[in-house]
Amino acid sequence: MIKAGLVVNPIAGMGGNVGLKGTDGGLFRKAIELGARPSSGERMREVLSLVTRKDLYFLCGPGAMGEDCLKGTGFEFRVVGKIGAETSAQDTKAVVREMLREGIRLLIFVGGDGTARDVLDVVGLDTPVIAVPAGVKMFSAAFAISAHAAAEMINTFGQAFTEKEILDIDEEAFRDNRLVAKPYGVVMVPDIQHLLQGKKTGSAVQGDVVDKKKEVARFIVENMVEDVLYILGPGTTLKTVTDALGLEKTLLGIDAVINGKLAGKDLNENQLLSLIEKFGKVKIIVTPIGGSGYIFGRGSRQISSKVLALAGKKNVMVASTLDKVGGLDCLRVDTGDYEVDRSISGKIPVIIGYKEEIIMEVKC
Amino acid sequence: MLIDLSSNENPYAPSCKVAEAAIQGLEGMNRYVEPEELHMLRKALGEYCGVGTERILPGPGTGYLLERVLCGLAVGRELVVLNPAFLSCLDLAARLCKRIVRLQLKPPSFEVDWTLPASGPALVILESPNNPTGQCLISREALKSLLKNEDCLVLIDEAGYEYAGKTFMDLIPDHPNLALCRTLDKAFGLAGLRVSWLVCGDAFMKALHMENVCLCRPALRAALAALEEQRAVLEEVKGVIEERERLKAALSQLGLEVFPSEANYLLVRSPRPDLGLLLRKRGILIADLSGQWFSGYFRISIGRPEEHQALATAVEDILRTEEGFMD
Repeated sequence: MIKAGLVVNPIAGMGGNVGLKGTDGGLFRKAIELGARPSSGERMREVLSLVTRKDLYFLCGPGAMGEDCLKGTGFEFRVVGKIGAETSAQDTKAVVREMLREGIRLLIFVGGDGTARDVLDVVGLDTPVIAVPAGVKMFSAAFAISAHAAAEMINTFGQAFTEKEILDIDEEAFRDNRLVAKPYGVVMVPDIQHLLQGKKTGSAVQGDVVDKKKEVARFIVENMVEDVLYILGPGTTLKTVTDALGLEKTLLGIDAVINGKLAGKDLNENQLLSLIEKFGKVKIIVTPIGGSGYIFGRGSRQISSKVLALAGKKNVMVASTLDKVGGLDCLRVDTGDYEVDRSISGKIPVIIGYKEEIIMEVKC
Repeated sequence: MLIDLSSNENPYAPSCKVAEAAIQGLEGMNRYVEPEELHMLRKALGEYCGVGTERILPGPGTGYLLERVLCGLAVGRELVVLNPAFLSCLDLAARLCKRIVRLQLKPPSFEVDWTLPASGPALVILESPNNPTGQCLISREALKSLLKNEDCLVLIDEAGYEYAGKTFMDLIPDHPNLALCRTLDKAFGLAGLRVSWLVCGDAFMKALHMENVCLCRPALRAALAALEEQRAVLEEVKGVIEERERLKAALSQLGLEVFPSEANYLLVRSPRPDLGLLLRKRGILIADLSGQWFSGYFRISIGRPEEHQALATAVEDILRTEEGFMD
């Protein structure tokens, strides 16, 4: 039997129906006062009703955190952890941690972007997840697009996995009708794309995303020029570059490399400006945010309009994998300085493999 | 049984005569194909295309011929293709070419800026009609302009020629840097035997060993028999085109965005990005393009009327009854 974890965030989604745009920070009590009802358990039951494989043994959260969904489904399960009357992010983390100790192969959870961040904090890239959306904010690419897609992932998961982003949405801003999102991290999810390939697809799908990122990194590293400062934006694609150099990367921050060595870690705007002035020759390598395509102005504000003006478009390099960039109309830039944004606009090659590029348009 | 509308195959098998010719081709299977037999096929293919035998290079499938072209001509060149690309040879290209450049196709117009990003010698490989849009995306003027640059080789896969009825064949004699690829996989229904051929401009002829032909005898015999039936094949193509337009109307009515097509497939955009999965659960396979292109876009091959009926029923059922998380 395959051990799978199952966690429900019972309060996810409650803020939406009553117009609260989220339940972060204890707002769920207000949601209940306003008449909100839990819906995430229902969603998990819908997914479970479509699961056909019989070799799963579930470890689940107590009561509303999973147990209630599994009762009466016919699946074998055992409850791990303890919770009080009200559940919290700490409960989610504690339960998932316990499941990992018990050796789950896969974690299925239902919740929103907040739950996804809590889960990511514990599982990292080691254990794949299936993220069933039931929150108010579900902008993260990691979420399954339907009950069928989630069930199909459970029914067929094996060896093929792909990385998907989890976003950090500023809930205060969201209530104010502004979408302020930055990448929070990456989880592994089962890749069901391969189920939909016909007999003669050739290279329609690029194969393993992790391998493709390594190809991108190898190409970048092999073409690094001596005495040029390389500023590396956030994300796992660019982490593979530092991995290839044997260096450590700040996953969500900006690092700089020169002659194969770190010139700075988790740098802010001023530190970047000083480094560029010190070394003169510079290349800025960034990766677009999945879904929106932003390369500057979201998630990497340290690479400000001043930094970009100093470096110039010819020194901007973009790296990605085809599964991420191929679904974009264009790349976007929004640094707050229209003149700089315009100077970055136009066609730009995006490195998507070893000696492989796709030409994309940058818009502001 | 699975209804497979994902691979752009012809839903109709070739005639009994073609099948018999393939079976006869098994006789003497312990012997290699004779040069005379190969010459007969090249001659027949040349006559079908209206060009000299010397320009014809047959091979077992378009993928094989593209690899021949890459091995003979791609070293040191930049390979330019459109995205999405359905080329099985890109791994080889990555080893041989200076770099691979994809040009992103953007709906709904799919307009391509043919001003090449390549800085030096280039090899452009494209399909006309394009896969997956089904549209002919390069005009005669744009192609002629590309061909003016002698450092730029252009290979156009005309696998869907019989459906679109458009070709650049007449440009071959005057443009040494142009080659076309045709196949009997589609309209002639020989996908399982894999018979394709290049029609080469002079530069391609010089670089490729035109006499070095790799093809098995059953495929060769079937190809010769199929070419004799081209009138019947072209009649059948008319039926497929009519069926394509009927399917287009039916799917549009159900709420899918269906793009105009000149090929034996349709590009559709679904309000449900998981349409492929939901159809697969109902025993229908279509090609999901989201792995390398936009989410919610699918390519549907033209099949038999009863397969289209099953597809339309399933699509209607999905769009009416299935609930999505992101609705």
